[in-house]
Amino acid sequence: MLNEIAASPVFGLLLCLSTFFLGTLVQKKTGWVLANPLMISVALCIAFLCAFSIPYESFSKGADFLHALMGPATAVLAVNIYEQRRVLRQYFWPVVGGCLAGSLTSLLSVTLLCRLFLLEDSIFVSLLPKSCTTAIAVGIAESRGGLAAITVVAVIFTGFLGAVFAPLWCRLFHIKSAVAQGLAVGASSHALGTTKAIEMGAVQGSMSGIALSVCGMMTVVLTFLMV
Amino acid sequence: MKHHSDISCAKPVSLLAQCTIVFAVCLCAEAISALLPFAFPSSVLALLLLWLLLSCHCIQPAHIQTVSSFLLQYMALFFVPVSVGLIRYLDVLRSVWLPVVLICAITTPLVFCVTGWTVQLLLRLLPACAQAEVQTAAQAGVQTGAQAATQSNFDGEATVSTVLKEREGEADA
Repeated sequence: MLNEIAASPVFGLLLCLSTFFLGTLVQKKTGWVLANPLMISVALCIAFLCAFSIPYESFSKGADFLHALMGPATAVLAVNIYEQRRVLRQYFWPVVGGCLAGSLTSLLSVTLLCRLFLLEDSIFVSLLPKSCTTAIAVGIAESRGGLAAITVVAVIFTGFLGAVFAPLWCRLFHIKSAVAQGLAVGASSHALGTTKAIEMGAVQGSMSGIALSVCGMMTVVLTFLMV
Repeated sequence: MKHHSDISCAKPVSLLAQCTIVFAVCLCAEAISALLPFAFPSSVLALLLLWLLLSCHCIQPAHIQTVSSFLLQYMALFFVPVSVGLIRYLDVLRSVWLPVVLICAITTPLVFCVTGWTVQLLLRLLPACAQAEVQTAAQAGVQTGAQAATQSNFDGEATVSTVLKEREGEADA
């Protein structure tokens, strides 16, 4: 009986929606950065599939509907960048300079460490865009033959680090300017860090949002030039 | 501001038309991506294309507002299927989790530090930006209410645009 239910496309779709909804509920109730809806949803989905030994293929029959919306969801980030055009113009050089420095540092340090740890190429390419927002990072990794799932894990973990430690790092590295704080959070830990930046202040929040978009675009270009 | 009056005067666009616009842009991006001689993420190409169309006023944000705010608000949901794909790579992850964790833990503060210092240096070198920063900070002082209201939102990207919209509104007033 269970196999027949799992074979229906509605099953995968419902599993994604219900677990994600549960994730947002948990985050709203606890207010923790660590209670990330994406992570909760993925953990519950994997646990469910494993527990009832349902093959990934039956799950993806329904989940592919959501998967198809991944591209459009990335595309409409353009609306965010467009809405931030005024702030972007005001701080043009600090934003461009900071994001370029941040993206380059991320790419170079990841390359260096992957060589150091002798990681396979497929893992290296999956980790390369880890400082970008999920949408862009998955795009980069997939177009270069990386494993999107590994990319998502690295991206989310990076985001957590930024969201938890951003205030500490600001003190530790003596980053006092609100603009610099926001850009640093956005460049290093994308959307998850941005949630923390918004708590730190409105300037930090909007700057972080700008940095995640600009760094995403820069990383696309830089990885293309690099590899 | 000219642009804001544009939004309020624009005719309401049906959800069907909004979806058609967004998906058409995405399909065009897929086509361009297939034609390119090198690998380039088509979703990012779609982002660039849409941004270009917005910037040259071929499309107004109001033309895709309902669908774009829906997609942005639930952005993370669309990444659930890809991430659940991890189930097929659990053995891979088991063998590389330590290097992955170490790489993230080392590079993230490094990127944070380099970006922060570069921006502070550039702000110091460019007096016009330093002045603007003082103004922005003063403006942000009145923002605490809006900020508190948006804090409970779960998605950073959607929240930022809300804060910014509110700020643009204030600047207009």
